[in-house]
Amino acid sequence: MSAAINTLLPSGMARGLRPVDESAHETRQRLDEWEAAILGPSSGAGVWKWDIRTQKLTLSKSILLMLGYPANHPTAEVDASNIIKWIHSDDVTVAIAAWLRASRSMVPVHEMKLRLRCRDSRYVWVSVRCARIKSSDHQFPQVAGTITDIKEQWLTKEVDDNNAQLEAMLSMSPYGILTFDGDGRVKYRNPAFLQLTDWRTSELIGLDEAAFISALNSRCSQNIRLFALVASEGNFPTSKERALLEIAGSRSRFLMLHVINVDSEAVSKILYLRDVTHERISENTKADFLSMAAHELRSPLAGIRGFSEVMLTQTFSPEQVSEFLTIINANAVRMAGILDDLLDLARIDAGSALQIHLEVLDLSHLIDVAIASFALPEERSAPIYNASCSGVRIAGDADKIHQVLQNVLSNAYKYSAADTPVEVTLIAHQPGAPDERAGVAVRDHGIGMSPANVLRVGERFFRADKSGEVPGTGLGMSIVKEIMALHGGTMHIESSQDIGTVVSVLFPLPPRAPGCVNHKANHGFD
Amino acid sequence: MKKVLVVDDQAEMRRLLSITLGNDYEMIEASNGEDAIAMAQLHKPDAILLDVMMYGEFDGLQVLSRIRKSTLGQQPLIIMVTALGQAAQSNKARELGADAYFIKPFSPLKIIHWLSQKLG
Repeated sequence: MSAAINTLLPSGMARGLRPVDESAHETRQRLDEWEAAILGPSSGAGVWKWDIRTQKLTLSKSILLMLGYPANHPTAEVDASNIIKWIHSDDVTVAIAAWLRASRSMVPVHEMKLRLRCRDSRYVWVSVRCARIKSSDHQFPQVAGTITDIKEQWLTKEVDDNNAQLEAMLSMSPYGILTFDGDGRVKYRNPAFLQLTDWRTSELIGLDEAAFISALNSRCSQNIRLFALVASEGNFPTSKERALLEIAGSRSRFLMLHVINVDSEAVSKILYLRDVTHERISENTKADFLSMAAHELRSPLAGIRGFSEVMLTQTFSPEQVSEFLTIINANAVRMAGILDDLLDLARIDAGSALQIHLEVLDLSHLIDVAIASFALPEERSAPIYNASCSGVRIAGDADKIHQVLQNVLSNAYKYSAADTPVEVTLIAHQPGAPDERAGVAVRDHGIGMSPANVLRVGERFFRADKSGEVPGTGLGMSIVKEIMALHGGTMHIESSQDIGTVVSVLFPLPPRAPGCVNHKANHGFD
Repeated sequence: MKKVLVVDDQAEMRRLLSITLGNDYEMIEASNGEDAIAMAQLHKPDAILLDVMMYGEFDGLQVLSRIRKSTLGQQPLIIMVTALGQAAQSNKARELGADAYFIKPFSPLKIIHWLSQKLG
């Protein structure tokens, strides 16, 4: 008897196997005896033997019963080539490979899991173990082993696998999930639930519904009482209803709670929490923006309606008529400007980066074009352009950068006195400097801004002018800010009240852009 | 002649209301909340047309509140004029003691009509 078979079969059983010719009946009888003696009557396993020389496969009584055959069925001894028909088609390849390894290799024990067809054509999961039995002439004419019904193990494993998959999915979920068991106590929560509510597992598991509602309410801001109202009598919202919660504290957030009642002994309710903070802020921002836009449009419209109505009902001197018509015209122009700016912002908001057509641009050329096309206010001089270098290239969208420069120049003129200059400076990227950017600075010597107002530049409808005397929509710098963000660029503002303001816009350089080419250096000057 | 104080940070709106009402009332103007409170105490107007959103220390609602809490003797009629259309604002103004609330773009003729009914 080989060491191999000793590792496969319990001691005593292996001693009974002999690689000698036996009649089929004797072989089977011997197998049944070993099985009954060693594996026991309810081991869920049976033994088998395969004679390679005769190609006969003998199965014990337990294996026959396992497969739904009567104990004395002639199937107990079959031609080994027919065994393939018993194996599930998906497992045949694995089985043959394992079989061949078992019959040829020196590895003592092989095990495979496969499905065997029962007499009623159903399949049963089994574990097949086998080993060669060394014969007296040092050949290996026989293989023997066990077959164990692993249906229950398999089911347990399947349940475990499913649980593991479910747990993994719930752990990864950004949505908070909590369940109550059949007795109405908190049974399960996923990590997102803890994160969204700042709860600890130990505080949560085992709470009954009333205690849970009370504890959840204590975490909610006083501003949102909807859930509190719904839950005021200790009840959850009815199935499929939703409630909005605002969790108070340093990480204040809005959560949408869905409650699903479940008709199950194990689970009575599933709570589903979704973080809707972003949507809520976005909705509020939109509502604020619409409200501000309406306010800004109402003001010029009030001038148009008011003065035109007064002109229609009263008599005025030609000078007064001219004055009122000028006001009406200015208000109409202002409304058109607001609408243009609103549409620009809406396009930027809607299209984001898709609308940017990045290309390599010559910054000096962009500045030249912007200055040449800028509509100078009356009695104002053109900007002083300090073109200290040329050949500076940036990555950007020419039309949008043109708009940025127009808006920044427009502000510089609006907020500075007629006798003061506006200066434009090209900011070149210095080779070796850490900041891979180049851009433009526009300086005015105007009213300037307080530090608090500097922080508000770019807010929609924010205007530094408090008097209402400076025309404008309050959207120009918002557009600049948005366009700079689309470019991955930056906007910097330095300002001092009654001294002036410098607005710098910096754009990213194109990949491997050439650096600044200094005019003086090119011409050999020091 | 009854006196009407127009309070608005936009010169254009002050001008519009002054020419609208100038034939029937003595018009005085303030361009911010602080001046409005001072002028209300000094001139004791019969009515105040008060813009809600104004730059400065006090907005229109704060001015309204202060005037209503002050001991001016005869309280003026206060008409809020605003480009803010929200119901919440108008309710707040009424709670604070505003007599009327006109939303821009308002009809100057309606303001004339309203004042003539109240002030005569």
